[in-house]
Amino acid sequence: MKTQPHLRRAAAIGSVLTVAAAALSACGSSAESAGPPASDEQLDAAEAFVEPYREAPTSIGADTPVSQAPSGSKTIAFLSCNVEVCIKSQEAGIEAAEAIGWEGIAIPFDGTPEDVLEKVRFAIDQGVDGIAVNGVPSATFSAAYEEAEAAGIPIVLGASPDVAEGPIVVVQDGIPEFETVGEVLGNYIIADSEGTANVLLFEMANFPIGQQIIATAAETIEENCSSCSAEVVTTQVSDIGTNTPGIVVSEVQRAPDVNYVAFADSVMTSGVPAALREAGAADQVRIVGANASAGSLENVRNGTEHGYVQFSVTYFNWQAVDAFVRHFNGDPQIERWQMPLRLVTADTVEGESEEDLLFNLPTDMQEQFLELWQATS
Amino acid sequence: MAAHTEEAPLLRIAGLSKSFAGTRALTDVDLNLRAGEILGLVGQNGSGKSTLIKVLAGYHRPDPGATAVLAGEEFALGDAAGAADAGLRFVHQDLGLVPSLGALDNLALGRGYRRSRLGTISWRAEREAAVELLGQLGYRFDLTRPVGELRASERTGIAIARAVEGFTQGARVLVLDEPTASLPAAEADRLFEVVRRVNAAGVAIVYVSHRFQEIFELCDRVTVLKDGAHVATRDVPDLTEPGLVRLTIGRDLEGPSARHATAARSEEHDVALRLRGLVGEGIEPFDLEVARGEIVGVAGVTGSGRESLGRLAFGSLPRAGLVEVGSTAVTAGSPVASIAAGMAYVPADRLSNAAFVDMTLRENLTISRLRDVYGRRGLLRERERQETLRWLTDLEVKPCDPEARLATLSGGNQQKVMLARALRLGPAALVLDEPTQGVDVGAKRTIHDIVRRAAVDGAGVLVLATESEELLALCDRVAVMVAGRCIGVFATAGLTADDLTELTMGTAGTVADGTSEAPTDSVGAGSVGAGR
Amino acid sequence: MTAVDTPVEQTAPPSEQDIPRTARFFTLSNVSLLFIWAVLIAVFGLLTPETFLTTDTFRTVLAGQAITAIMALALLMPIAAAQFDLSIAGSMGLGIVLVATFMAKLELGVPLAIGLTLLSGVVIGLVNAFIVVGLRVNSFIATLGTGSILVAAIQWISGGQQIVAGIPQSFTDLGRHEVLGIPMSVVFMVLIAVVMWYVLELRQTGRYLYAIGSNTEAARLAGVRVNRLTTIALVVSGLIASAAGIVFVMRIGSASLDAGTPYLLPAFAAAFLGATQFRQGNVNVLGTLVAVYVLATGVKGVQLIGAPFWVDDLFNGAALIIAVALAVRSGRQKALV
Repeated sequence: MKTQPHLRRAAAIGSVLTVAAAALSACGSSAESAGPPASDEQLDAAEAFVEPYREAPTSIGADTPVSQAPSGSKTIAFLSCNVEVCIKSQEAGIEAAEAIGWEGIAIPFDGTPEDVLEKVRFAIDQGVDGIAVNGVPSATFSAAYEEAEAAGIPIVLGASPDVAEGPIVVVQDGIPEFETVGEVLGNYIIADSEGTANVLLFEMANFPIGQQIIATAAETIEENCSSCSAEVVTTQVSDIGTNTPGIVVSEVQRAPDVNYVAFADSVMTSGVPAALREAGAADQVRIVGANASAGSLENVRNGTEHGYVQFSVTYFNWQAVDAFVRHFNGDPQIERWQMPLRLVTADTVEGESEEDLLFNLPTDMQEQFLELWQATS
Repeated sequence: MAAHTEEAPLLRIAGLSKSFAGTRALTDVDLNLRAGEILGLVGQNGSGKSTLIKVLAGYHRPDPGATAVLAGEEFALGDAAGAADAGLRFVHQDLGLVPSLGALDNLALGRGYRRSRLGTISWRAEREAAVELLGQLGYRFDLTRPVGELRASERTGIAIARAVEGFTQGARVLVLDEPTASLPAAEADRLFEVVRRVNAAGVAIVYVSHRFQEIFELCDRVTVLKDGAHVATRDVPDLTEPGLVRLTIGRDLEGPSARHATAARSEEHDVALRLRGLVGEGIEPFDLEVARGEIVGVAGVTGSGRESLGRLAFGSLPRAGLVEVGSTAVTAGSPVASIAAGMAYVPADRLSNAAFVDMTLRENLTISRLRDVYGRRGLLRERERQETLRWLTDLEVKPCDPEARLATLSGGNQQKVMLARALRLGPAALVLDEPTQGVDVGAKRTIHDIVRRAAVDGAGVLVLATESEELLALCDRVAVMVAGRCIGVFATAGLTADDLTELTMGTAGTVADGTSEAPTDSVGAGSVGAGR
Repeated sequence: MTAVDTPVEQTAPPSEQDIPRTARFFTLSNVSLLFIWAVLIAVFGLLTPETFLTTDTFRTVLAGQAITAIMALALLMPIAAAQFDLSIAGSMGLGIVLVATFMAKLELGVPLAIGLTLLSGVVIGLVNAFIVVGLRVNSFIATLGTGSILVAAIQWISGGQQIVAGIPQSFTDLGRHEVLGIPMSVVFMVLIAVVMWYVLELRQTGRYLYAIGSNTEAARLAGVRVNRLTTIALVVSGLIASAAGIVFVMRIGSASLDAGTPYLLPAFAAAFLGATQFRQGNVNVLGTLVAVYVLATGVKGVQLIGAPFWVDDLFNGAALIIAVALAVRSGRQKALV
C-alpha cells in the first residue's frame, strides 16, 4: 500500500483531466461577433412587427361559426401533465365543456407513449366521447391511435409541435403559431436593444415547442439585425431551479458582451435573477422569454425580469372543445387559427390583472368562443 | 497415516509471505500436508493462521516467491478458482451461509441444484440428499427454515455438510477453520466423527483450532504458527499439552494457581447480583445470587438457556421476575436502567453486539458513560485520551493507541477493550457472556486476570461460557443449566472439566435444585471419560 | 507479560500512535477531495483564467450551492445514525409553501411565519420518528412515504398555485443582503454548518449517533438511548430542511411548488462523498461542505469552458464514483447502506 497513494493520486488527476478534456473537445462555437451597425430600416421593421402585440389581442383568431349549436351531452377527457400550467389548461377545458352543457374529466399523464396508451384506454373505458391533449408531439400517440379508432373516439391534438398523422382531429399544427411566438420574441429583442442585442437563448432538450420558439427567435435576430448576435444553449428539464441559474451565469461570464438572455419558457428562469445578482451580472443582462408564469410576471413588475411574449395556456383546450363541436356537427375544422399573443413588459403590466395578462387573451376569449358555437353562457 | 515420513507430501506450500500495508502477516511459511493425515494448525490470534487459510482459499494474493504443489502439480496461490480446481475445500469461520435461505438452498448454492428430467429443480432429490448428509452429522431440523433462525451449531453443521458434499467432486484437501468455535461439546464430538469419516475416505484435513484438546483428540500432526512464522511441526503423539502450549505462546501457562486471588472474598454474603424467578426466552424460573467479590459461572450447552441468561439479566431481552443489584430492584427491559443500577454487561458475539469496529479505541471505550469525558463546552479531548491510555495500559491492549481503529486489533485485544468499557463504569455487578470467545490463549489468560481483579475490587461477576475449562479456571461456583432450568450450583474446587461437561449434558444423576454444595463423588466419577 | 511482545511487532513499521495527528489526517485517501479540488482550480484557472479566477465566480459558486449544502447538512444526523431521510425534499417544499403562505396570504409577519415554518419541520421529524422508532418501519420506506404525503400536502395547501406576490419586501431584502460581500444564504448555511459541526464533533449527541450508525445493537447494549437519539436525528433533519425552504424563498422571492425535489439527490451525493473524507467513512460537516463545493467548482469550470449541457451530469457522476471508489480501495469507507 505504500506505493499506492501515488497511483491513486495519478488516477484521480487523470480522471479529472479526462472529464475536462471531454468538455473541451465537445465545446461548441462561441457567439459570433457582431457585424456592422443595424440600419434604421431594420430597427423600424422590428418595431413595426412588434407594435401590434404591445396591446392586448382582440380576437381569438378565427371567425367561422359552427353549423349548429352543440346539443346533447358529451364527455370529453382532457389529458395533461400534472404541473401548475397543465392543470390550469385542464381546468379551462372542463370549463369550456361545461359552458355548453357537456362534461369534462381530467386525466393526468406523464407524456410518455406508454402512459398515453394506458390513459387513452382508461378514457375509453370511462365511456368518453372525445379525448383532448395539447403540446405533445403526435408521435406520442402513435400507439394509441388504433385503440381510439377502434372505439370510434376522436382525439384532438392541439398545439402540436409537429404535423400530426393518423385518425386524429388536428386542431392546430402548432409549427406556424410557435414560429410566430419566436418571431415576436426576436423582433422584440432587436427593438428593445435598439440593434445592440447579444443574446443567449436557452432552450430545453425534449421540449419541442420551446425549441421551435427559440430557433425562430435566434434566426430572426441573426437575419433582421446585422449588429446583433444570437447563440442557443441547450439545458435539461431537470436543470430547472437547480442547475439552470448556474449555467446561465457561466454562459454570461463566458461572453461578457451578452446583454440579453432569452428563455423558451418562464419556468426556466426560477433562481436565475438571484444567481445573476450574486454574480454581479444583474445589470448586464435583461431576462426575456416566452410564456410568463405568475412568478415571472411579478419579476417583470419589480424589474428583475424584462419582458415576455405571452400566449394563453387556457386557449388550447377551448380550441379543442371547438374542434369537438365541429367534429360532432360534421363541420370542417378551422384551417388556420391566429393564436392571440401579447407582449408583456414593464410598461404593459401596470393596472391589469394577472388573469388578463396571462390567460384571458383576449379578455373576452370565452364569450368569443361561445359566440362561434352559437351558445350563450 | 503419519508413518511415511519420507513420502512426498500431498500439499506442499513453501516460502509463503504476505504483507498488508507494510505489516508482515506471514513470513516465509512452509506447510506440508501428507496424504491421508489430519494436520492441526494452531497459533494465537494474530499468528497468521487466518491469513494462511485465506491465501490458500484465494482471498489474498501472497507476496511473490511462494510455491504451492498439490499431488505433484503446481498451482497458483491467491486464486479462488485455482484452489477449488486443485481440490481444496474450505469451511470458514463465518460459514458463508445466506441467513435468509433455508438449509436446502444453502447446500445447493455454489454447486447448483439437482435437476429433474424436465430441467426443474428436483426438490425431492435435494431433500433426500440433505437429510442424509445432515443426518450423518446428527442434525435434524426444518430444511426450509431460514438458517439465520437456526442455532449457531446447526449453521456450522450446514456449512460442514456443504463442504463434505463437495468430496464427491474431486476434493483432496478439506480445511476447517475453527469449526467448533461455537459448537457445544456434544456436537463437537459428532463433528469429529464426520471429520474422521471424511479422512478415512482418503481426504487430507487441515484442522484449525484454539482448543488444544481437540488437536490431541483428532490430529496426527500439528503445525504451530507464531507471529506469522512457522515455529514447528510435530507428530501429535510426541507432544504433551503443556509442550504444545509452550510452542504456541513461547512460555508456560501458570494454570489455575492464579485463582488464589479470589479466595479471599468476603465471608458475609454481601449480595451484588440477585436473580429471582427470572423467566424469559428459553429460561424457566431461575434463581441465583452472586456475592460481592465472587465469580459465579453458568454452564450449559447451546440451547440450555445459558445463551440468553445474560441478556435477560441485563434487560436487553424482555423478562419477568426480579433482578436486584445490591438491594435495588432493576427495571426490566432497559439496558439503560440496568447500567444506572450498577450492572455492566459484556455481550457474547462481539462483532454483532459490542464492537464499533470502524471507530477508535477511545470512542469504543468511553461510549459506556460519555459524561465523564464531556464538559459543559463539549468533548474534553485530553481527558478522554488520558483515560483511554490508562485503560489500554492497564489491560495490556496492543496497540496502546487511543486513535487506532478497533478493526485493526486482534480478537483478544478487541475483547479487552469491551471489558474495559464495562469496567470503567465501576459496576457492582458484572455480567460476562462468553468473555473469551474467539480469543487466543495468551489474551484469554489476561482477560481472566482482569475479571479476577474486578472481583477482588468488589464486583459480583457472573460468567456465562460454553467451555467447561474456562468456567473452572475462573469461577468460585458454577450453576449448571439444562433445558432452561438450573439443575444445581456447584463449587468448582475438585470439579473436573469432564464432570462439568457431563453435568451440562443432563446425563448425570439427579441433583436437587439450588444446591450450592459440591457434587458428590459419584457424579464426578460417573462422568469421567464420557466426554471423549 | 502476555505473548504479544514479539520480534515481528518490534520490527513492524511505526504504529498509528507514532504518527502525528496532523500527518494522520493528511493521508491521501482521507483528503483526496482537497487534492482534486486543487487540481480542478489549477486546471480551470489555466484554461479560463479571465473568467474562472474571479470573485464573481467565487461568489456565484458559493451562493449557488448554499441551499444544496444546507440540504446535505440536514442529512448528516440521520445518516450518522444509519437512518435515511428521503422526506427532506418534501420538508423543504412544505417549508417554501408554508413560509410564503403565512406571509403572503395570512399576513402573519416575518418572525412568526419563520417560527411556524420551522415548527412544521419539527413536526415532520416527529412523525418520521414515530414511524421509524415506534412502528419499526425501515427509515428508507418510512420517509419515502412521508415524502410523498408531503408532496400532497404542498399541493393541497397551495391549491396548486405558486405564490409570487405578497411576500414582504423586508423578507426578500434579507435574502439580497450581504455580509462582507457574502450573500445571506451562504451566511445561514455557515451558521447551520457550525452548529452541526459542534454537535457532531464535540457533543455527546454526535458521539452517540455515530455509535448507533456503527453498530446499533452494540450501542443499545452499551446503554445508548437509541430511540431517543434516532428521534432527535430525524427531527433535526426535518427542521434544517424546512429552514432550507425558508432560505430558498428569501433568495428567490417566490414559492414554487416542486422546488425541494431537485435537491434530494445532490444532497445525498454530497453527504456520501463527504463521508469519504476526514472522518474515515463517517459523514461529517467538513467533508460534506468540501464535497458540495468540489463538485460545484468542477461544474462551474466545465460550464465556463463551454461544454454541452450534459457534461455537468457526467462530471457529477464521475466525481462521486471516483472519490468513493478511492475510499473503498483504501478500506476507509463503510459499506454505504
